[in-house]
Amino acid sequence: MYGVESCVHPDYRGSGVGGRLMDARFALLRRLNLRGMIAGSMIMDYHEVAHLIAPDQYVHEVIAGTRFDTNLSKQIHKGFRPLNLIPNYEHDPRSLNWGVAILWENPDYTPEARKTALILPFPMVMSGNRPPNNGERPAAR
Amino acid sequence: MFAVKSEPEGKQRAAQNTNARQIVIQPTTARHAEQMNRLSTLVYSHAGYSRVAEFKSQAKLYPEGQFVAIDTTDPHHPRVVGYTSCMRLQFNPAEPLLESWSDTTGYG
Repeated sequence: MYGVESCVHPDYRGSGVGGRLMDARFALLRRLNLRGMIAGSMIMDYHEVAHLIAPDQYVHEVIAGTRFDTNLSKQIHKGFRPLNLIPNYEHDPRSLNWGVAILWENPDYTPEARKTALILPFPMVMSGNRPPNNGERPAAR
Repeated sequence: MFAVKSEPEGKQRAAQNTNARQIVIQPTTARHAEQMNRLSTLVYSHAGYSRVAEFKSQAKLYPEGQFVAIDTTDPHHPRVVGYTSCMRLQFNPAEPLLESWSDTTGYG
């Protein structure tokens, strides 16, 4: 799944609204048995130190926990894993247009369950009131 | 799990002020689009154009992946205070992203 966008009113930031929206996404991933979610994260506070350090150094420090980024730190705390930098991610002076590709892997994903769900047994795809397959071959037409 | 530096004190204080509010997370529908557009305009400063059609389209294309956070403290005036949008995308987490971000996500 691709996390297109998340947005919280400034008056409600830091109150858990974003976390609850994220939990709704995670619940969907689990319910549909999807591998995970990839998203882009804008490094919102990078402009504060952009004259001192490169963006990759900034991200490393956020990952190490020695620097707090309003956006990326929360996503890491939620279990996202930064993958790589994205240049020209979004035009925004706060991030100097840098973004980070982040990944959340569904710990409950089971390939077997997905395969079973996609390949239905023959009687299940038939319409009408036919009872479950009792071992008989379907009548020739 | 990575260790993450905690949130600055000022933001924690702001959180305490909103704790008494009643927030409900529910699936997005077309009727939320106007309020979502107002919120998006406030956050992303795009006063020059409307995203109402985009939000309605997302809710129609993949309703399972759309959620809104609604402040229902005043039940007569429920207010959209957050939203999130997801789409289905084919990818394997074990393999690196070789395409550009724009190509991978179909330009958003």
